[in-house]
Amino acid sequence: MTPACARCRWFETGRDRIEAAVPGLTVLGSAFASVGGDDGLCRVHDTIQSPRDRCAGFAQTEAR
Amino acid sequence: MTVRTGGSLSEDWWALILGLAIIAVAVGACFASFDLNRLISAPGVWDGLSDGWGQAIADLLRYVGLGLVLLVCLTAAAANIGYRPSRFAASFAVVYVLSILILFASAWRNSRQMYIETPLIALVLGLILGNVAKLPAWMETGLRAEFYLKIGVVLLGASLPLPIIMQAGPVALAQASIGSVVTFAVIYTTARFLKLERRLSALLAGGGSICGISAIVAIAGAVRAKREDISVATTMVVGWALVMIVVLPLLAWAWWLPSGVGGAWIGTSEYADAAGYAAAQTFGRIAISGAPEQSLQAYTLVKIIGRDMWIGVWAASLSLVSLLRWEPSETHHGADLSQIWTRFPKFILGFFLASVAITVASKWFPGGNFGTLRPGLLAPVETMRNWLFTFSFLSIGTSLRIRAMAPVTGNAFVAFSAGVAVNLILGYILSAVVFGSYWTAIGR
Repeated sequence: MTPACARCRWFETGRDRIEAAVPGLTVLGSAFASVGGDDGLCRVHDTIQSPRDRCAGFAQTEAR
Repeated sequence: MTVRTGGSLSEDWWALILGLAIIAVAVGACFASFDLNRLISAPGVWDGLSDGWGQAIADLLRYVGLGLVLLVCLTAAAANIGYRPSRFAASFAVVYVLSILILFASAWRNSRQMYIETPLIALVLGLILGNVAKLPAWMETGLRAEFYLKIGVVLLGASLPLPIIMQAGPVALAQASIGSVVTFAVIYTTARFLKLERRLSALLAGGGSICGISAIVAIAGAVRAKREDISVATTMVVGWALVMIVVLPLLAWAWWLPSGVGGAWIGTSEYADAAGYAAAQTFGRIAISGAPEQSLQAYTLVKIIGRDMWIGVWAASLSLVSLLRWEPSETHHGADLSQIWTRFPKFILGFFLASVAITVASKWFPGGNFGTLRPGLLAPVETMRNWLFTFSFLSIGTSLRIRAMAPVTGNAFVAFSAGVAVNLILGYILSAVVFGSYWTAIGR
């Protein structure tokens, strides 16, 4: 089984970047709110998903 | 507590902390016989330029002091949440100065007589600034409509004694649940009938029935929604929520609804907390019968207790549907009931704690009840609430870039609007007919 999205290089978790990616999100909402949980933006599929999701396109995060 | 990327505590927890801190200061000052109204003030009604100018000069130091305290506290919270603190501080300073002007404009006697309320002035000014002027990028950081709103909602708890919440809670929950479930079903079914993709259908249905953008954010991760679909659903919610700020109070007024009944209708039929607050506040002032605060009380009970609280349950349920029915593959993580707590809007706990704090304080206070407490304890809390909601409405208007919003297809518009129509009718029946006598007497 492939590792989860949380460890994928294409999984974007920065709240400000999620807000920038969805026009109008901050007008009546916020990506920094609890309702967003730990969700992130998959830059391969262009979807919002859980860090516990998995897919065949997984790419290991580069060591920092 | 949920640990977030970019900060250690979420926006919700900070709203809870700051809101309860304001209430703790108000309670402490009250017990120490210190008049907090001397420090926390907002423009009073003025008539003529010399009157307004004189008042502004007399209160200048108070505004500077309040602004500095807010700047320090909000920037500290902002830094921890994950916003850039220097940008937030600079932006908030502008928001604060503009809010002083907005509150002065709405305190003008002519504005009051024409029911030109603070939210309307703030929204219009923000829309002009955001869409006509070219604002610097750092200005975006302090336009945190949700953050200010959540602190304001915590402070709203102070205006609702615990017995009213306990008494009205079940009715509010029943009414909001019926409204949410029926509206969700109408939007989702219509969207699917019109061949819209099921994830987009779920986003539209959640946004139109539960709690606007917050529901879209919660459901998006649960069903793995596409970014473009989130943008479409966001456009629909923002558009209709702003229209309803004007339409709902006017309809309620035209049908002679009592203050509490109109507030409950707004709580059932508005999409976003801030938009609903603006509508309920306006309706409270123009309602033909009932006390002005009944509208806000009924709205808060239906929206917060009946709808917002259950967002985690909706997200977990849709996650389960997505897993079992839509995409039963190994790529999707298993059903996760912990989402119910993870996605729970924590600031709502602050709303309840604020109500408990004020109820307990009123018992301890010699001869205290809500009537006698209002000037010393509740007045500064309500003044702070007005400031925070003004920041929120100004942020809403300024951050709404009409040209940047995603275009909406005809089918998405039809599906969402079908839910709007059904929700309006159902909300009216529930508020004015089924529970009409109840909402008429709310808080009395």
